[in-house]
Order: sequence, then structure tokens, then C-alpha cells
Amino acid sequence: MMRTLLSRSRGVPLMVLALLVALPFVSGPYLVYLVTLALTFSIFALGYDLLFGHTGIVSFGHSVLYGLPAYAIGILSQTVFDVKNPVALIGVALLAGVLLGAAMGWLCSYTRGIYLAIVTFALAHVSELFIFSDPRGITQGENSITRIRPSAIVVGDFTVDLFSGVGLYYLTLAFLVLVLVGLTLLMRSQWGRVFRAIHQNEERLSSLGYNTRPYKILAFAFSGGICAIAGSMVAFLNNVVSPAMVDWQVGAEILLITVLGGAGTMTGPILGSFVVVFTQTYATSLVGQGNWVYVLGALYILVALFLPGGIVNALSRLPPLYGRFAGLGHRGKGLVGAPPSSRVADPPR
Amino acid sequence: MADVLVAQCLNGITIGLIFALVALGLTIVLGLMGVLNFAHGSFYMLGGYVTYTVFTTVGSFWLGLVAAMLVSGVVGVLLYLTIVRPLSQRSPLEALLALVGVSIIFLQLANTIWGPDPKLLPVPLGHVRIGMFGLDIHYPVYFLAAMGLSTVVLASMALLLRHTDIGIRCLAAIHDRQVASCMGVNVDRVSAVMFTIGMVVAGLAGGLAGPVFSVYPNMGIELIGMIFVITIVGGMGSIGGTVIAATIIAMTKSISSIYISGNLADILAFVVLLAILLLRPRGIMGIASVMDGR
Repeated sequence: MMRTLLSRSRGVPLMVLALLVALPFVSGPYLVYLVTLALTFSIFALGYDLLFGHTGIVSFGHSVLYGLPAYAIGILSQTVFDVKNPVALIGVALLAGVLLGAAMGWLCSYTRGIYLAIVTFALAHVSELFIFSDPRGITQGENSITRIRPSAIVVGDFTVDLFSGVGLYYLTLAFLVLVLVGLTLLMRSQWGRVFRAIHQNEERLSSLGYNTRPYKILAFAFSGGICAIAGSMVAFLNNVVSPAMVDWQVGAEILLITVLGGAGTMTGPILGSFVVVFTQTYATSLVGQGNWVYVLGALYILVALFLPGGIVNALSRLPPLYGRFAGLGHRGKGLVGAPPSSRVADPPR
Repeated sequence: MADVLVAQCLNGITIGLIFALVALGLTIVLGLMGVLNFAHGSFYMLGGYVTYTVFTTVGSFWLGLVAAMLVSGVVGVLLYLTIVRPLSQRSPLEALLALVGVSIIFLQLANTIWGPDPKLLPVPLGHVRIGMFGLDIHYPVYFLAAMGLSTVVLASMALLLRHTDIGIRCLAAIHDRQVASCMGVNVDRVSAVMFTIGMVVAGLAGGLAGPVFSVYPNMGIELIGMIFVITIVGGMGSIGGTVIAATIIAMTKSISSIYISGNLADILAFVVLLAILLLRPRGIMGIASVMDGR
């Protein structure tokens, strides 16, 4: 399994990985920070794409699965308890993500298509309002939970600080690789095949005797776990957990990043994240504070108009060397993956 | 107490009808083209700012409303021709991507042109004293006028959909785009007309909302999420359902805000809508549900 995993398209991804490993040795702390940010977004987008591109479920509420686990870390380490053990913090965030994902999936499994999207949206909105309302002072409302700093890991005489600067960069990179490998294995397993089948034709799957509901809940739970990793990395990166992390616009942004890069692929969400993070940063210095929005907006419009299937799809049409870089997976389909005539309403009657 | 309650009910109805105006275009475009028009909120904002600008230069609020409708209509046609039409048939998600791009560009334009501070529009028409049934309320006439105007627009849209040629073609295309175009409905032209009407009405709603909420760059993006929920809960393509859902959410918010804090009132409104959606998975009056005989 491992061998096929590597041999499929070994060259370019390994080269990119080597470059990323070497980066902190040749660049300043700011670039390292930016790439860390892009890496966290990549993890988030991959988690989102498991549900969106691979299983064909559009969610507008993934900020819940990204922000609330981060709040779990904040509550555990600052406001209520005083746990600084990083393994415990990440473990709790992961557990929170999986459980929240499963709960969201259970609730959402009663609806489908655009109705499901709206249910997730409402969940995100309610969660954000809940964070703002600051029950018993545990979320600190709009003041955010600040100074989140897990203690360093001590192994024998060595102290390894994995939660700031270069240490966090490598931790995030390691998590991204882990998520990529895990996701590839998952999508090749029987569960992954069922996820893909749900994307392609859910009716047919149910008439073949599959109960799709547990699988959809499973997909939500996996997605929640991955997004929770991204959320906790961002909490460590900025040392802050703010209500903005739970805002539904974060969920919408991750949807856009995934579509921009190319949904239903392994490389698309990562490319999308890097493009958006770097556009945001460099367009700001190029056209001035605030005006970078024009560049990002134009980017969204131009990609949608001229690069159908996202950046990955455009890359895969380039000559072979570059094409292989993007050759994994398949491109995503419409809003619910149904034929165009019924892409928003329920499946064919 | 009764006075406050009645005043808040009237506020709830007015605000609900304004929300319904915004949701109207969205629900038709979503049903017709399958495109979640994220830029819809931008036209609400545009309408607000055009009304404000005309009001400060010419001095007439009502003229501002007319200008808002015209400008939104023209910009709407341009948006349809350049982005919505090419993308809606290819991929609804890529259309969504482009429309988010449009809406953040609009947001930044508004920030640049009018600045980030909220612009206050004075409430025209003064106040009226409501003194019947033992009540004694000093209520702004403008809210009643906005209520009436919204009702007229919504009712005439409902009539247009049911009793005119283009309306019936539009309903047919919402039911099934492909079959309708096989039967000779020019879906593209119907979509263009309905998209433009939706934008005109959204611009009007933005102008009407000006004196109620004040005009600020984020007003559209803040509202658009709730409008999506209203659209889906009401049932795609149904004006009646949209009005009911919009009024439910606005009434829940304005009445419960007498008793509990604003945040909790918002949570309550969304929980009510979620409950409706889980009980009636296709919305209050979705056309799909009519077809299924539910």
C-alpha cells in the first residue's frame, strides 16, 4: 500500500516536501509564519474537501468544526482549567472535532443538498452567537481568549518547543503530511469508496442496499477531526482564539479556497490555500491596505470564468511534467453532484 | 407593556417584509438557475447608498428609492450578462465563487467611496399616535408606509408569477428547467428578466432599510446569510413561504428582544428556523413539496 502510494506520482510532491522542509533554513521568520498559516489552511481545506469534493456534501458551517475545537483548547488552557500539556490539548481538540462533526453529521443527515448547507450555516451562526454570549465567562465573548501557550515538550535533557516559530512550522507540516497520507489511504479503503459513491449517485447506492446515513456521519466525523487539527494549529500560531474563527464566513472562505484550488483532489485544497494566503499578503503590500480585496475578488472571478475545475484542473492540462503534479483524484461536480437539471432541488424524482 | 409589545410586533412585520423583499430575488434566482447569488446582499447595500446619495444631494428620499431601483437594475443586467449567464450553466459552485468575488469587490468599493462609518438617513414622514383598543403608541408613519409598499411589491410579484405569461414560464422553469426549455420556454430570457427584477427589488429594499437600520458597507454581507436561511426555509421559488419565513424570523427577534438579550434572541430565531427546516425538509411552501404532493 505504501509503495503504490508513493510510486503513483512520486517526483513533484516529494520535491515540494523537500523544499518545505528546507524552507526555515533559508528564509526569515515572516515567511515561515506565512507558510505555517498556509499549511494550517491546507489542513482545514483538506478536511473540508473530504466532505465536499469526495463525499459531495456542501457545508457552510465548517467554521464550527474549526473554531469550536480551538475554543476547547482555549477553555482548557486559559479560562476554566489550566492544562498546558500540548498532547492533552491537541487530543481534546481532536476529540471535540470528531464529536462535533458526528453530531453535525447526524443532524444534517435528515436533510440533503442545499437544505443541508443551510442547516450547517445556521449551526455556525448559532455557535458564533453562543461564543459571543459568553456563558459564565468561559469564552470571554468578543474579547477572545488570549495567551494560549502550551508548554514545551521535554524529552530527557532536550526541550523541544513545537508551538512557536519554526517548531510549530514543522509540527504543522508533519500534520499536513499525516493528513494527506491518511486521507489517501481512507479514500482507497472501502469507506472511501462508499464516500465517493455517495458523491456520484446516492440513490443508486441506497437501492443497492447501502444505508448511506452512517457513512455520511462518518465522513462528517473524519472531516471534523481534520479541521480540529487546523483549528488548534491556528490557536497555537496566533496564541489567540477569537469569535472570528467560528464566524460562518470562515466556512465560506474554506469552500471558496477548495473550489479555487480544485475540489475532489488532494493537491487542489493545498494550492488554493497557498494562493489565497499569499495573494492576501503580497497584494496588501502591492496595492495598499484594504485594497487587496480587489485582487482577491478579481482572482475568484477570473478563476471561475476561465479556469473551470479550479487551478489544479488548469495545471493538469499543461505539459506532462506539471500535469502529473495535479494528476491525483478527480474534479468535483455541481452543488450536490446531481445532474444539472436538479442540481439544487432534490434528486431526480 | 402591551404598548411595547404591539410596537415591537409592528417593527417585526416591517423588518420581516423588508427581508422578504431581499429574499424574493434570491429565491427566484436560486430556483431558476441553481445559483446561490452571494452578490444579492451587495445590491441591497447599493440600493441603500444610492438612496442616501440622492437624498443628500437632491433632498428627496422617495426619489432616492427610484434611483436605487434604476441603478440596481442596470448593474444587475451587467452582472447577469458578464458573470451569471456564462457560469450558471457550467457549475453553480464556480458561479458562487465568482459572485463572492463580486460581492467583496462591492464591499471594498463602498468602503472607498462612502467610508466605513454608518450613514444615517432621517426617518421621513414623522409620527402618528395610535390610540385605539386602550393602546397609546407614538409610531413612525414611515414604518407603516414601508410595510404597505413592501406588501404591494410582494403581492404584485406573486400576481406576476401566477397570472402573466413570463411568470408562468418562470414557474415552469423552476419546476424543471430542461423540460420547460423543451416545451419552448426561453429559459435564458426568463432568467435575465427575473434576475433583473430581483436586483431591482433588492435595491428598493436597501433604500427602504436605510432609515430603519442606517446604511453601512457591511449591511449586505451581514444580511445575506439570514436571507439564505429565509429563502430555503420559505421554500425555493415560493413568495408566500418567503414572506412567512421572513416574518417569523423578524417577529421572533423583535418580540423576544423585549425579554432576553439581543444575542439570545438571534439564537432563538435561528433555532426556530432550524426546527422548521428539520420538520419540513423542503421548506414551508417549497415548490418541490407541492409537486411531491406533500
